[in-house]
Amino acid sequence: MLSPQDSITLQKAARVTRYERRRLLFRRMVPYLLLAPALLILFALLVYPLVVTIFMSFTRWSLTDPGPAQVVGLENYVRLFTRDPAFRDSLWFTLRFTAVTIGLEFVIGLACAVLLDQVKFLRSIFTSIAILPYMVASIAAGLIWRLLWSHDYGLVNFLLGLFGLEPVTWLGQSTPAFWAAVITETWKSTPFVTLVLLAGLTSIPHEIIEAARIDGASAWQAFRRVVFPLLAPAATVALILQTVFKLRVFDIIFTLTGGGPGRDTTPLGLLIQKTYFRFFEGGYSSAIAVVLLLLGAVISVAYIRLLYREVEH
Amino acid sequence: MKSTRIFLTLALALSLALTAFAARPTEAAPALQGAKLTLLIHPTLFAATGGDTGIVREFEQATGATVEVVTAPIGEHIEKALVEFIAGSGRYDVIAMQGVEMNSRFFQYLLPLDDYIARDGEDWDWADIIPSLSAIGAFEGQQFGIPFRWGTQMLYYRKDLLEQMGVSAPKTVEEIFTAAKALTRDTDGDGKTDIYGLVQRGKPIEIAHDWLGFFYGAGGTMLNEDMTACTLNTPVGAMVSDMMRNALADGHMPPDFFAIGRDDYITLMQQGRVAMGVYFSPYWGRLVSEQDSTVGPQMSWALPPTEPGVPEGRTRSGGWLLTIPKDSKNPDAAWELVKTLTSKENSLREAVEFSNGPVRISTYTNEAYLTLVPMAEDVLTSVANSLNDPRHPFMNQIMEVISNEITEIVRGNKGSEQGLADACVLIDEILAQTN
Repeated sequence: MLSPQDSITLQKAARVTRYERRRLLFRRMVPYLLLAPALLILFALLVYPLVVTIFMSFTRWSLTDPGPAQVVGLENYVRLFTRDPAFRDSLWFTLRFTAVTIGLEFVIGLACAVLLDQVKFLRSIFTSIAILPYMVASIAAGLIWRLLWSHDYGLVNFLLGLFGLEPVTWLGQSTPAFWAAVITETWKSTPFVTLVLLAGLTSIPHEIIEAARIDGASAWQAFRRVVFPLLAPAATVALILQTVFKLRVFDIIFTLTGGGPGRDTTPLGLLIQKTYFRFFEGGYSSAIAVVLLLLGAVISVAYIRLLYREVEH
Repeated sequence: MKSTRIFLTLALALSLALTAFAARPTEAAPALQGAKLTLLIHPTLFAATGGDTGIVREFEQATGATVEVVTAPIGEHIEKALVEFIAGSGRYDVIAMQGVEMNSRFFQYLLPLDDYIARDGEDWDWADIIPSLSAIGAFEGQQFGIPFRWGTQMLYYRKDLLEQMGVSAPKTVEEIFTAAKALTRDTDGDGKTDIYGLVQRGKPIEIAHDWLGFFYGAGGTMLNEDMTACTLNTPVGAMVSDMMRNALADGHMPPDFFAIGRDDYITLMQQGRVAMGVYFSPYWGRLVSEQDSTVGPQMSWALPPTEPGVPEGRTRSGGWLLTIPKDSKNPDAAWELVKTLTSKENSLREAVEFSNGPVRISTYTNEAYLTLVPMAEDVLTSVANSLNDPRHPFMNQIMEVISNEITEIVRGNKGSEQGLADACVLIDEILAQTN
């Protein structure tokens, strides 16, 4: 039998255990409580609109004919992929535009980053100059380049003329308009890739590269086998962000070509805007937005897997 | 006792009378003191009221009301209006809407203005507003919009170049394309064209607007009367399309035609790089501006080209109306603002001082306006005879189809008949959704 003293001790111990348990629970809860406001805001601004957009994509709902949305199942998606040449053209343009601009930006951006990494004198000034185009608003960039691409008084055709080349109707024909859009976007966005890759290069210890060179690796081998794998995380970030930016490109094309000639340079972003705000088709434009979202997600996941497999290899 | 009662009654009556007198606004007190209005308007239209220092501010000073002005370009403009319509928020008290937007989908959100017009119509001179324009703001016997700015298309040309080449101002659609050929010139002999005979807009949607101007002038119509069938696929449609395609292919229009929009058109005209073009009448002031145009004094105008048998000056016209949403929190004050912006005196000022496209007959016949805009009489003729795009709720989709198909025709990817037939198939599908 327990003495009264033991009993008190046990009761105290039980109270302490309960208190400890509660304290532990509270400590475990704290991060979630601290995260809650941010999560709530994210839910309101990100998750809720996303869920609504996905739901809307299965409905027929017009802005000019409000009322309960009529659920139509996969009808919008069937129309998108079987009966809408505008979507087909737009998707094809968006994919080509994304692939070509990302490729150009990555090659030029990497070259610029490597060059800037070598610069020791006035490096910050050179870096600042290199990122100037990125500071120009997309709308302004589109308008500036619109003048540069002009057939009769544009700088590009003037320069071509100096080499005895015939002027090109840059914005009035399908293929030149595509390249005009690609070059303009590359000019505008390459500095972003340069900056991210430069940050990655700066973080690589020079000792590792030197060790590789001492071991007999050529400059290219050192870059290919040592620098590039270590640059992979920064490259992945740059690629994913740029891919997402390119897939939803809108403003620079809007001012540069207006989606023309015809609808030859209409990206999905412009098509969504047109379908929603000019045709007032809420459900159908949501379906295009969902396709764009899936496209971005699939490409981003593919990048991550490819690049990390490369690093592991 | 009785005298006390009489005294008290008189005192009460006197105090009531004094209170009523004190509470009554004095003659100088503004009529709408404290009223708050929000006006949603396109920036060009707001500029046509005199902008920040113009008629809206004068209205505030005269009435005591405050007017918040929200400006938005086409596209965003209707988006802003629609969101508030659907929410029923009453955010805007007066909204400027395009004529083509005055269709069955939008009337449900607008306040009928018939009672106001019946009350004030005589003093405000409702009958002076061009009746065909007023009709665009009406639906099923009710008036929902008051015309504010209207324009038609005019043929603008360089009289010096036409004289040099011995060409008279073209009168028919065919003549305009023939003249374009004669007026296209390599002035310095370097093998490159320095002056193009004709400029029109080729950017998406704008190409449809300019093509329709010629098409209406050639006697065509977009839809049948009850808006159930497309009527583009006709010989005149093919003729206009062929001429446009040939003018581009033969180098009589600037090669970057498909990139030319409103501002490019005006710039090319101001720089003297083109000899002719058919475009919106209110832009006359910009084409002859001493500040902006290098060839202003050489500019002249004529009625837009029409084919024989088609009413003189027929082309595509369009404009804006002022409306009051049915959810407006202050419709009476909103009506006062609409009335002020469209009064006889202010309409004249807007036209003379701020280059607005007039909607009142009295403006077109006013001496001051005629001096400033010598083509006013021709504009009135054209406005009276022109066609507005049908007020179909899916007009934006229809315009997109026309834009795409005309682009395909003009760049030679499709024959005219094929392109117009394809356009009609797609348009009929769109029409079937509402029939």
